[in-house]
Amino acid sequence: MNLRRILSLAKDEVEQRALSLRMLIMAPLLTLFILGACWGISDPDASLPSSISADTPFEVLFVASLFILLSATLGVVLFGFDGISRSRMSGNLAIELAQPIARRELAWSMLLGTWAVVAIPTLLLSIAGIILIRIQMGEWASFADISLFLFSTAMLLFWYAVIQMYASSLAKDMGSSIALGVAAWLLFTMVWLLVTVLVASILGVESSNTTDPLYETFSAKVDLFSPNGVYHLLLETRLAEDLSRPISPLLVVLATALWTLLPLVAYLKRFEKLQP
Amino acid sequence: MAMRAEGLVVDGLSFRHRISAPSLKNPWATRQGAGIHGVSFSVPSGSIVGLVGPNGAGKTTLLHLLSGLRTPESGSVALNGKEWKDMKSSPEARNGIGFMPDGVRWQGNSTPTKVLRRMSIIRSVDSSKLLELVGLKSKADETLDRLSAGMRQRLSLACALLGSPTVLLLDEPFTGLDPVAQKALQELLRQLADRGTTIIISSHLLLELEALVERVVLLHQGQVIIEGKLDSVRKKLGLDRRLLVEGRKGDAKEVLASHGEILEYHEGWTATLYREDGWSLQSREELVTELCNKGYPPYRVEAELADLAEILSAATGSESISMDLADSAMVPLARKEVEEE
Repeated sequence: MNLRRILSLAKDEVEQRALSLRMLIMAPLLTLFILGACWGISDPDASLPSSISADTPFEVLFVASLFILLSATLGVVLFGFDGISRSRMSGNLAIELAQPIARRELAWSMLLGTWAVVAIPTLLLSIAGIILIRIQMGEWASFADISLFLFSTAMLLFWYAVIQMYASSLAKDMGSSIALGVAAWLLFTMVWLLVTVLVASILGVESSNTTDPLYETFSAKVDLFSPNGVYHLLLETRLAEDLSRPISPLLVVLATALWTLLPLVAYLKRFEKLQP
Repeated sequence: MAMRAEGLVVDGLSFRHRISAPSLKNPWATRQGAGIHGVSFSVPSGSIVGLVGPNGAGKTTLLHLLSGLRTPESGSVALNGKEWKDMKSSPEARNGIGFMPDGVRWQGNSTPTKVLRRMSIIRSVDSSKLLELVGLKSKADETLDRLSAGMRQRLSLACALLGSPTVLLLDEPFTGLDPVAQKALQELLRQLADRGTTIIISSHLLLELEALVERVVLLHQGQVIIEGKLDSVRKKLGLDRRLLVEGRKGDAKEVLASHGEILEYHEGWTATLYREDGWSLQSREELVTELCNKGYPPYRVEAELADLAEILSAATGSESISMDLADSAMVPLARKEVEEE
């Protein structure tokens, strides 16, 4: 694989999308959600629901991650839902696939382009958010906390990018392209709690009290099957014990690896078989 | 004349499309659909070949196999002497191929310059002169949404020409081009062929194609019916046995009938004659002599060349040229040899 060519093509994708209409929609949303959350939650005068603790810079980042889950993942959907289907429908994909480049390289470049176009502004805004927290609280989050936060966010967006590109490769018209993209986002972002409660009820786990330790353990395990869940579990590894859910960090690391590898392998295989 | 090297040799290529056939038992089930079967032909370097056939004959499928967009079930392709089983999994083989698909709808806020920049990254070649070559220099920084159909076609052509491929595969390249651009494209393709580029053109615009190609490959029901130089194809199909005779005086019908079968006759007179054994110089002399002796001197006697539409019609066995699609045209003739799933 020619890494240089992959990165050049990904850079080209980012450049072409950086000033697109979609970015004009996404940029203010990301700015408001990420900076607004970091600034607002770290405000000493802010009154948060009693169940939410935001006493340290990292706890603020953890709560702010909810806003990243809503906005940045939506950004990946916005840029990725037609990442393949659009060029496939217009015929451009046939031209690119006929070029002397391994399909794997092309697949990687499209994936990295889609990921980077959202990840770059999200990570930059996250860094700006960390600075805002420092201004509000007078202390920095630790280097390890910041590294984990940025790494987890980058990984979350990567998982969504892979899912979106895979879904896009299945779609053969714009309608199904949008439906698949939004459905994947809705499932993990909005419906997952319902899925967790439903599975808990089926398995006989008491789900009416979400602070019940048994339910917390169960929900942590179910969250291993969701990218959003794994993202939060990764962040929880740096939270105090009373704030994090009881689950082995090894399982979280394993889920991270599997969420990175399995969809990626499926996407690359799918791209190899892709018909124009 | 020196023999030209074989630029492209296609040997027994077969491929069947998979068609979705969902059932309650298996919603993802597929079955075999139309395709091509055992397609073989060879094209010398620097030739321009017309790929002709009715709708659904398998022309685009064949071009997709040659350009590496699909994997053949069997067969191979040899490019400049090197054989490849599967162009799709051989990027280095595609180095020598330029493919222009049919009807690419370039859209979005990108520009021709940006499109070619991306393609040049993929091919690791320079693309600076291509827009000028295809006449798009003045529109280089126009957004794709603002390009006309013809301009988009030119952009697709520029992409195909990137990297100076030795084999150029063009699917309906004349569609959307104005007459001047069509002529310019024909001229450009001739120049490329003169430089040794092998060009395969699939087109339904037979007049434009006829002015350009020296060889044809006729596809029907996924199989090559006939291929070769235009003259030899006419000969093989018996379309070189027609003679056009025109005169002014009298009614020469009887005289003409004694020399060959009259296919067409118009008062005035104009006739198309057919002879099973063809029209030798001697038989033409005899005809002209008798016409003159009987007082019907012809002012025009020439072999009537069948055009591509007639060749297509004759080769596929169609009685007349019509819009009808033969059901059988959608699947290879050899389908009975393949187990349906």
